[in-house]
Amino acid sequence: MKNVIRFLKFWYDFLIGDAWEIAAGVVAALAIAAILVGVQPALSVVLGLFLGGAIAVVLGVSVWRGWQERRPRAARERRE
Amino acid sequence: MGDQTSITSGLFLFIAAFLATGVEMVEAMTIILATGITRGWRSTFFGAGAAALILAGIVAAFGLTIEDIPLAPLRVVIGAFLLIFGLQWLRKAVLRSGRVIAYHDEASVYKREVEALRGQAATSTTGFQLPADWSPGKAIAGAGGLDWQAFVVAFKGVLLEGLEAVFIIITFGLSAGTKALAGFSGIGLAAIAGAAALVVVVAAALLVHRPLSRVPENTMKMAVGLLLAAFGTFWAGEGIGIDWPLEDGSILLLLGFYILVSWLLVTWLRSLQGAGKKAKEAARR
Repeated sequence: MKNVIRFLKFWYDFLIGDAWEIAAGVVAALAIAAILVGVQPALSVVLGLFLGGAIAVVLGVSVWRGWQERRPRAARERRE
Repeated sequence: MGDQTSITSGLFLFIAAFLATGVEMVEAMTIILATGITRGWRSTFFGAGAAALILAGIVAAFGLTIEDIPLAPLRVVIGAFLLIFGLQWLRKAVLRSGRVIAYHDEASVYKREVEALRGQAATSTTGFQLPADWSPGKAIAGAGGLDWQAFVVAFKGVLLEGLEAVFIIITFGLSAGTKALAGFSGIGLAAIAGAAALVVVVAAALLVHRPLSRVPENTMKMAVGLLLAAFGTFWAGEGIGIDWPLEDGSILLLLGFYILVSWLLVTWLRSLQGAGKKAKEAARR
């Protein structure tokens, strides 16, 4: 059991790390784009723009979360 | 007259196959260089070498039927992984450039590792043995002696681009018919063009890797994150059926777009940090 947990933890750390929103956002963006391509193949060129934009949003959200996580710590350090 | 036409056609086939496989090899080499410089060469070479071996095995096993292998699912999986890794690196580099987290200090990491290794029965803080030939400035490997992230990134890049290069050689070679140059024709000629492209790309990489290794660490990590994100978006998009308007040229557009987004994020973070400092000074007064 310990080894299974260790194995799963390795893969979690390897693929997801400390920013789960990146993996979730990438999978969601690709899934939405794939569905839209399937429904409306004529939009496939426009969907390139959507995918690039969605990835930029994922990055923006993750950076914002990174800033939010570290902001209280920085404020504490300043007080000390 | 007929021979001259065949030679001209053969020359065109050679140039076309050289350029087309060259583009794929430049893409693979970009990933190898970027990964090697930032994460260490050993694991990167292991990843690239393993991919090359598997590629050779696939070619030997499938021969000309290799064209039947579905590339789309492979592109989606590899593209998604590269995107995830690339965005993780880019996120950290943006947070560092935006002064939210400290710059990674390699020198202090080495010093800490050496002290731990020398002081505690040659076991590092990460639990790995110091290699006998290790010296300061030389990268310390991770689990199992390998940096698995570097291994996987290099492996996937080489495997996918290698498969694409093989497809190009077979497609160009089969469609070439009797076009010949210097006694070679068809797939043989296209394969020679591919080999020539590989030699040129490797030579170019050997020339540029030293100047590139002098680029500051965080800048290099940001560049790698940007490259992986651009390649990942392109491949995953191709895999799910997106028609990129400029084909491989779209990678450059994606790269430019992500550079702009990262610059905006760094500027935003710096303004937030600056506003925080001003508020602190105002509170002191």
